[in-house]
Amino acid sequence: MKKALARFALFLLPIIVTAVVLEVVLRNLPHDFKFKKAQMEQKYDEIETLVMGGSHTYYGVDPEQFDSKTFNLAYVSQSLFFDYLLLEKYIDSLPQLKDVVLMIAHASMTYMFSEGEEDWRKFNYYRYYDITPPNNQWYHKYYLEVFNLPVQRSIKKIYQHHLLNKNLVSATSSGWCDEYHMENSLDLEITGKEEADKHDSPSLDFTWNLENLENIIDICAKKGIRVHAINFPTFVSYRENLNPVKYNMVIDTCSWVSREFENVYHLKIDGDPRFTAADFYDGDHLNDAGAMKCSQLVNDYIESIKNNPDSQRDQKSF
Amino acid sequence: MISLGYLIFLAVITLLYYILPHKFQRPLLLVASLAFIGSLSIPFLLFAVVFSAINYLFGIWINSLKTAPRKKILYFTSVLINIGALIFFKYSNFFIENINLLLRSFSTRESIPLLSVLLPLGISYYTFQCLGYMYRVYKGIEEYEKRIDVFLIYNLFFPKFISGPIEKSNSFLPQLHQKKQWNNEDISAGLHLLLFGFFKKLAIADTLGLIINQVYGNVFEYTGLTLIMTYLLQPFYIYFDFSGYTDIALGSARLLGFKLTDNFNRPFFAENVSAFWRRWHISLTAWCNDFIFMIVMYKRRKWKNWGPAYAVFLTFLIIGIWHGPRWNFIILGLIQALAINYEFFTRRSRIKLAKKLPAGLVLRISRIITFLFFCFSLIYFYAETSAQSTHFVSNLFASLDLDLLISNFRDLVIGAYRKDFFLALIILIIWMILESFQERKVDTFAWFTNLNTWVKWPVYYLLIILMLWLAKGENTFVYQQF
Repeated sequence: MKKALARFALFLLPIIVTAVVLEVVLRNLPHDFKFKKAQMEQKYDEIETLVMGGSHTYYGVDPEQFDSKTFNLAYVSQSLFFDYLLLEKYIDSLPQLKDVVLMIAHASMTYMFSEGEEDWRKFNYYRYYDITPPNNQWYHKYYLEVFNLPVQRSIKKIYQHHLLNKNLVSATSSGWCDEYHMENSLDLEITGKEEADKHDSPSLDFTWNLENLENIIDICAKKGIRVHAINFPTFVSYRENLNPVKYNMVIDTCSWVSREFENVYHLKIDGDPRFTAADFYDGDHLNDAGAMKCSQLVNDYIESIKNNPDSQRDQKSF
Repeated sequence: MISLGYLIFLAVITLLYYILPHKFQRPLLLVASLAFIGSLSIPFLLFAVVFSAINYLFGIWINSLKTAPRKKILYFTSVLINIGALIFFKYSNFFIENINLLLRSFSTRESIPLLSVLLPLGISYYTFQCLGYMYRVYKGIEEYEKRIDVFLIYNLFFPKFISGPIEKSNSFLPQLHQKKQWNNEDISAGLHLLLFGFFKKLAIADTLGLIINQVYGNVFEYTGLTLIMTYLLQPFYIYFDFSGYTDIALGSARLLGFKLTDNFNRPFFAENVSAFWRRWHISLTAWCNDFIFMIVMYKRRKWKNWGPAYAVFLTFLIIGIWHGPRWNFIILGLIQALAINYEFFTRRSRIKLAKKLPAGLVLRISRIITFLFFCFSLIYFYAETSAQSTHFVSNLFASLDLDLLISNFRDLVIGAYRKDFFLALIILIIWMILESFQERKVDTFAWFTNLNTWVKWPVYYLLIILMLWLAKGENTFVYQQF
């Protein structure tokens, strides 16, 4: 038995050594989470507006277009749950914070932790923000990079960084991702339908995410911070393929919170005719030009609220 | 089972199993099995334990009775409980949906609300094990199991709990009474099975699954060559997924000194549908053969040729239903029964025809026909509704446009995975070539295991690298849902 075990251990040795080397190399790769966290920590005392949410804000809101000092803390597939945890973690470190922009997309109110292919992303919150996600497997507790992504993707990242000298950080110093360039835009009809199919889960149970939203509103209210629930622009091919009942329920929920809570404002710019096909990268994301337009629009809206807080709390731009 | 957690769990249990004194081996297996199921779901664990305990008590009770009529009543009560539980959890909503459909056809607005029940994991497998055990104890073919811990391990043994194999009590229970000692042969066989199982699942099945799941998820969008490609690939997907799981189950058990029933014996080399089902999901078909086919055939022995035909029909109807509450599964079972009965009734004329042709040609043509028939029947396995299967069948040859296939392929497999798909396809072909050697009694595996370590280990590393490279992060099996 001892001889066989020793032989097996010898067999495993190169695998373990490779895994350790891979882990060290992966940990030293530049990472959006690592970069944005560092950038934000440098601006603690300046940030007045914090943009949160998933890919709509990550690709669609450039803080440089804002009059106030703004930081984009959105990440792809970031749910309201992680918006809340991040805000809870940082709210005390941001003395100037006055406005929080929240992305409320079609999937926001029914999004759960383990959303299949996006499930792996939650470990970035543990790894870089020290936020332990629920359903954390015991062997993920001390989170290892090698277990997070499929091996192929990890090796490709190393290859891109070390051999192709590709920059793995896609965010600017203010947190916006400007990777979706107008000239590379995808087929809006096809991607719109694909993304709608992916996001349109049959669930209509908003309970859990409504609770997260209320938690965000609550901690902001205690600090006198305004919360702007915004439905960001998507292309018509995306909207038309969503469940209309659920779509309206999401909008109604935003309207309801803006009526119910004093510090909440709702803006719907999804379907705004000012956004044309030229502004979209794919069916549900703006390109860099669209992001500029969107950022300026959101900035004007926030400034108008600042000047007149009692103005229309529930605005639909079309 | 496709996780690092499982491998660590298995390694720890295996080490403890051989380090601890013999008297602790069974308790360890029981605790490990309870922990494994409990980690998946506590309610499922409680249900499985109570369910097994009831069957254990029935075994004792049936054995203690002296008179045949009372034994019979008790046996049928146990059958009723087992089948009743399975029907309740697995089929109650199917019945309600169909009753509601019937009510709607009479323009009735009333409908019966669906039950909010979760299907306990592994129920289809351990219920069949219990039914087989009860029959054998009732008939006096087998001694009842006296120890509850042994009976619980028989039902809840963690390597086979999720998707079988469905073990016969007379083959598994005696193994639980044997003293297990570290055996290099068992360990080596177990590790090989684990490696092959993970490789089949991660390197081949999951990559093929990208296409199969995407096509069946949006079947109405595809026609012609895309459906033909899916048609030809789908048997390999299910084969590598399920046989991958089975190898992991067999390998895990073998590490602990247990030999489980292999579910597959190179099924794509079967020359007819009857032979195919002796090579495919063997533990299920063997169970159905023993406890349905043989019993029905014996009871209908006076019907002459119609007896076996009826027994085949009933057996495959039950195999179809066993897969789940869908009309398509029933169709899947019935078309197998039709094919086997066709083979049965036309056997003589087919043999006559075959004699006129070269034997090698007949064998190859037979294999191809059997394979294509299985491809066809799998449409009813994957398609969830009759509308989906009808679309698939009626549009198979709708538009044989190569450009459309290429464009569909681009949509089906995202850019990053296209090379993976072709790599998986090459591996699949190599695997089938190796199986063809095995089929010709050339034992390539034995030849390989006798090679020098310096040759073998690089091959193992290559398999591990390929497996990790092609892994898509998928960790469920197709047969888990049953």
